[in-house]
Amino acid sequence: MSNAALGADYAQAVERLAGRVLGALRGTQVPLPAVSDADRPADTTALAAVRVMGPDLFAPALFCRQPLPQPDRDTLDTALRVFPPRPGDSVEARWRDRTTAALLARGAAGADPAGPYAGGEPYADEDSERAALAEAAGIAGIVEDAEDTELTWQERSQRMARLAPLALPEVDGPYQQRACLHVRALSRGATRSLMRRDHPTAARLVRWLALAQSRGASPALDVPTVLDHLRLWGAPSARTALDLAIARRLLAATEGGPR
Amino acid sequence: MSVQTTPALSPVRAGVAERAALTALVDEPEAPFSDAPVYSPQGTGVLLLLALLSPKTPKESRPS
Repeated sequence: MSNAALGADYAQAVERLAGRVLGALRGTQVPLPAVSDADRPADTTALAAVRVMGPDLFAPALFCRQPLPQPDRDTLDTALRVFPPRPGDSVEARWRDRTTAALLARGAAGADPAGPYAGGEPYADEDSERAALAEAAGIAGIVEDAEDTELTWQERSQRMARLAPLALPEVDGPYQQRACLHVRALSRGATRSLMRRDHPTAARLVRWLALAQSRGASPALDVPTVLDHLRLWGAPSARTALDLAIARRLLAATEGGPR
Repeated sequence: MSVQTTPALSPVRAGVAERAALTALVDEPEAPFSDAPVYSPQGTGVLLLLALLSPKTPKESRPS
């Protein structure tokens, strides 16, 4: 299979998986249904989709305060073994892996209100294999990007857009804090993306703005209006629709509505 | 009678091509182009011509 065909294959698998995560997020089924292709544990394409989604797999579990279904945990374990984190990965990939591993090691989602970065020994109660995977991702994520303070608002927006899967409830870390701190830069970035009609990037940035607003920051954009605009014009893909759904749930939590 | 069982299939580590495809999706950049309207200086002459050719305001006709 050519590289382009492989990439298209993976992208389709990611879309399918994102659609199922979106269905679980919107659904009312308890316990949560498994979303991964657990019946095809040797399917590299399905495992790649799981790795691309990363922390987004946990969105229904975190919002519904339910544990991640065991088949999804097992598939995520396998995916981390087939596509292990590497120190040569980009900063964004390393942080996504770190968050995925930390959420996986947390056990029951939402059980640790201090978040995965609270220090101590977050993996002490887990089995050694999961702990090893989590540590591997942790090591990959320890390298802090020193140039981060020097980023322009365009560069910061592009970086944060790639880190949008980290914008989840009950997940805390440096990038969640930076979203609140640089809310103006992200508002500019979202506006720029809207003007460029780059709706997937705009949805990712609005997701960060919704998280910042849920934590007390004041975005320079009317986030609900932008969400409506993107829903009407810019959500042809399941991944973008998932970003918008998560942003809306974050806002609903701010307003005291159901999560 | 043989009692051999088939072990569950376990995928090996992904190869270079698989890894590259995954990285492309994880590190997806912003859209390289957009169809947003852009400034076009060549359009200025056309606009000026259209303004000159636009119909003038109707004048009141004097009663004869």
